[in-house]
Amino acid sequence: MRKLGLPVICCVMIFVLTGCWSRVEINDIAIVTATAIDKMRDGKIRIALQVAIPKKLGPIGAGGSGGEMETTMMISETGENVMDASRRLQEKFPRRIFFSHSRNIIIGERAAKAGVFPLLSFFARGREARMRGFILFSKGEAERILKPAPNIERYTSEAIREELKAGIGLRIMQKDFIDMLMTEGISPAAAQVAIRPTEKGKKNAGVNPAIVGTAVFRQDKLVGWMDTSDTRGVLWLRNEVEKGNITVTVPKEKGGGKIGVQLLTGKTKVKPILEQGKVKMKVNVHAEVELFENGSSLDLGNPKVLEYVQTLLEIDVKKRMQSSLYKAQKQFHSDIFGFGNSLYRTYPKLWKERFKKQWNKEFPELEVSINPRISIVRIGLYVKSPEMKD
Amino acid sequence: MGMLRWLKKRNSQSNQNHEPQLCSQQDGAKYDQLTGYFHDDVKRLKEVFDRSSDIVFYEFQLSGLQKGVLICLDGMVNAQVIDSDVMKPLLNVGKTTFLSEDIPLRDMGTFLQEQIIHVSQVSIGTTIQEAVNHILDGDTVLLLDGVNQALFISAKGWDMRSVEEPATEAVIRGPREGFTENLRTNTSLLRRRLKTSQLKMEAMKVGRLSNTNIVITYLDGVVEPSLVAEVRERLSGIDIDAILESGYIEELIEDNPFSVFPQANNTERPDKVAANLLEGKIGILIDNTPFALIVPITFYEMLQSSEDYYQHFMVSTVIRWLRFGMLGIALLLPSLYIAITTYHPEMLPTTLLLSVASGRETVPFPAFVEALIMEISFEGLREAGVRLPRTVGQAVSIVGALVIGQAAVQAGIVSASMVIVVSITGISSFIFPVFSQGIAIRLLRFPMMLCAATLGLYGILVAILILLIHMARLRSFGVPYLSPVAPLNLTSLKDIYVRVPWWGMVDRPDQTGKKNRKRMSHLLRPRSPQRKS
Repeated sequence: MRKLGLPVICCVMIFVLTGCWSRVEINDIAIVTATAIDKMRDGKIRIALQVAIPKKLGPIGAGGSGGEMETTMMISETGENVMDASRRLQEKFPRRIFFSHSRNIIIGERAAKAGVFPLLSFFARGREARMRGFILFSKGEAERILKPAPNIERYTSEAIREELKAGIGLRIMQKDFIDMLMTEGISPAAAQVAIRPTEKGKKNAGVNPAIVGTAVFRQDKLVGWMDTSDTRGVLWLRNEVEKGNITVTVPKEKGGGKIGVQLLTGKTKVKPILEQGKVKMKVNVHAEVELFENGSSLDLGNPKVLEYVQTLLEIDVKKRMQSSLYKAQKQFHSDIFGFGNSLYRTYPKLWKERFKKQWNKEFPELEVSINPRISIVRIGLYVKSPEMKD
Repeated sequence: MGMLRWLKKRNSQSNQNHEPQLCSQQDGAKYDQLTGYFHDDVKRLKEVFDRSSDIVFYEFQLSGLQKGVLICLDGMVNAQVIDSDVMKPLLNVGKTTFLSEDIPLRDMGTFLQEQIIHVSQVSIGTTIQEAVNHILDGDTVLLLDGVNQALFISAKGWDMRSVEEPATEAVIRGPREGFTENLRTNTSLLRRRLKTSQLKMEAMKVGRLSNTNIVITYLDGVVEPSLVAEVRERLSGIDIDAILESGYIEELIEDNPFSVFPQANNTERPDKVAANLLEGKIGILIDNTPFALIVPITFYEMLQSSEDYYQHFMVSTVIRWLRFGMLGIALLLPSLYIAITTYHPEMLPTTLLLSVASGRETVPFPAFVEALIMEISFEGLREAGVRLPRTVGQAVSIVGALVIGQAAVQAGIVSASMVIVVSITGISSFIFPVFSQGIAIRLLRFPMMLCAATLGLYGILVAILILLIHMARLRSFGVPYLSPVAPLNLTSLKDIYVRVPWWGMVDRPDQTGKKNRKRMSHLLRPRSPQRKS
C-alpha cells in the first residue's frame, strides 16, 4: 500500500504545481502575419502589424463570412525602440499580440539606412518571433506595403511569401540576414518589395505587393537598390539562381527574332586565384536550359546553330552579371556576393594578414572574370520554326 | 487512499475476528451415504430439494416388484432420451430379465448400467451429496429400492444458443464460429482445431453456489509447466459464491488489480484461443459465457487481430501500423489539440492556425472544457448505443449526429475543428481488436486531457512517461507487459511491428514459447520450380 502512496501523492501534486500560467486560448491572441518597421522623422520607431481577423478568415458557416470584407487589419504605434512600440501597441489592443506567425518583416528605407541590426534584435532575442520569417525592404515607408487588401491570397503577407518562394528575388530570412552580418567578407542584401498594380497601367484595378529588386547593404546600413535585371545578376553571382527565363535576340543578319529558354539548373563557382600577389576572382557559371520559345528562323536541329544560340545566351548572362557586379563594386562598395568570404576560405592566412582590415577598399578594385557555360539540353520536338507560305 | 485503507481495514478485521459465514449448499446431515432404504433416501432428497418447483421425482415399479425413482431437474434433461433409452428398457426388460436372473442387489447398479440403459454416460455413486450434485449438473438420478447405489444418467439437454458468428470480433476472412455459453460446445470447438492428445483440458469447479465449470486448456509439451501450475493455483484459490462471467475470474487472477490495462485477453473466437495455445499460452474456458480468457498476455498482442494471420502478410503489416497510429490518435489527439492550441499556437502552420482560430471565435468555452463536453457526449452516445433497445437505436444515431456535428458547430458551442478531432478520436478508439484494451485507452484519454490542459505538451509528456513506467512494471502471469519490446527480444519482434509471412514464423514467441521453440523444421519459403536446362 505504501508503494502505491507515492505515485498517488505525485499525481495529486501535479495539480498544485504552477501549471496553466502560459495558457492562452486561441481566441485571445492576435495573430500577427507581417510586421513593418519604419523610422519616423522625429527618430522614433514605428511598428505596424498586420493582424489576421479570424472570424473573417474562416470558411462560410464556421463563423467566417468569407465575403468581401477585409481579412486583416493594421495596427501601429510608435516608440523609442521596437520593444517600446510593441508594448504601447499592446496597451491599446485587446488581444495579446502574438508574433510567432509573423512570416515577413518589412523595413522601410529610412529605418534601413539608419541600421537594421538594432531593429532585428527584438525579433532575434524574443521567444515568440521566429528567425525563419523573411526580411524585405521597401523604398519609402514599409507600412504602405501591408495596407492594400489582398486579392487572391487570404492576406498580403502570404502573397509576399509565395512570390519570394517563386525565386524571383533574393530569398533572405532573418537568420540569413544576421548570418551575413556576422560573417567575414560578405555584406547583406535582401529583396525589395513594392506595390504594383495587378493590371498593367491601371492604378485602381487592384494592387499586389511585388518583389522588384534588391536592397544592398554595407554592414547593417542600406546603401542602395538594384533593379530586377541586376537582381538576376546578383542571384547568378551568389549561386542562388533556381528558376528563370533568358530571352535573347537573334541579330538581323541571322534572320532576327527572339529565342526564349527556361533554366533547368544553374550553378556558379567562385574561385579566388592568386597571381603574383594579386587576387583575381574567377566565376564559372554552368547552366542547363530548356528551349521554350523560338521566334527566329534558325534551324536548331543543327548542332552548329545550337552552339551559336548558346553563345548568345552566355553573352546575355555575362552582361547581366557584369552589370550587377559593376554596381556593387563601383557604386555601393558592398561585397554582397561573398567574394571576400570565398577568399577567406581558400586562403585564410592571407585573408587575415592582408585583406581582412581593408576589404572595403580592395573589393571595388577586385578583378573578376566571368565565364558562363550554358548548354541547351532540350530543344523540344519541333526543331525548326515552320516556314510560312502564302 | 481512503478507500484503500478502508478495504485493508475491513480485510484485516474479518481475518482476525471470525471466519466469515460463506454461503454453502451443504448441510452436515446430507453428506450421508445412501442407505438403500428407498423411502428414506427419497425423503432426504426431497428435503434437499424442497420448495423447488422444477425438480421431478418420477416413481415407477420395475415389474411390479421393485420400486424405483428417476430424479431430475425439469428443463435440464433431454426428456426424449430419458423416455426412450432409460424408461422404456427399464420397464420392458424388467419383466423378463429381472426375474430370471438372480442379481445381487449390490450389483444392480452395474447391471443396469451395462445391460439395460441405452445411455453412454452413466456413472454410479453412493452418497446423497453426489446425487445432489449430479442433479444440479443436469444429470438424471436413478434410485432403486434396496440398492444403496445411485445411477447418474447423463442425458443433459437444455435450451442453448447454437454456434454463431462472434458478435464482438467479426472478421472478413477467417472462421465464423464463436464460442457459446455451453462449455462442452466450446471445448469441442477447440478440440476440432487441435486434434492432438497434447491438448489438455483440466476441469475445475469454482464458486460455492454457482459451481461453475472451468476448463484450463493448454498444449502439453508447448506450455511451460510452471505457468500451468501458477494458473491452476490462482484459480483454485478463488473462493467466491458465484462466477457468472469470465470477467469475475479475470479480476480475481490479475497480477496488478489496480491497473487499467487488461492483463488477460478475452475472446469469443476458438481459432484465436487455438493460436494462442500454440504460442504456449493457457486458455481458460468458463461455463455460461462465450468469452474465454487467455493468459499471459502482452500489450502488443492486444493490437493483433486473428485476421492478421489469415490475410497476406504485407496487408497485415500495414494494418498493424495503422493500429499503432490509431492507438496514438485515440490516446493523444484531443490532448494534443488542447495543448497546442492553448499553450503552443506557434507550432501550427499559420494557415491552419487561422482556420482553427476562425472556428474558435464564437466558442464560449476554453479548449479543454470544449473537448471535455464533446468527449463525454461521445462516450455517452456510445454507451447509450450499446444499452438501447434496437427499436430506438436509430433515434440515438440521429440525435448523436446532431450533438456531435454540424448543429453544435452552427450553434457556436463547439468549433468545427474540435468536432473533427473528437470524431477521429472516436473512430480510432474502436480499431482495437480487444475491446477491453480499447476502453482502457479511452479512459486514459481523460487524464491525458487534464494534463494537457494544465501543463501543455510538457504535461502530456509527463503523463506518457508515467504511463510507460506503469506499463513497464506490469506483469501478466510473470510475463512483462511490454515484452518483447521492453525487455527487448529481437527475434520475437517479427510478430509485433510487422507480421512476417508464415514461412518465416519459425520460432514461437520467446515470452511463452521457450519450452518448445520451433514451429517448423526450417524456413519453408516457397520457390518457383527451377527450370531444367
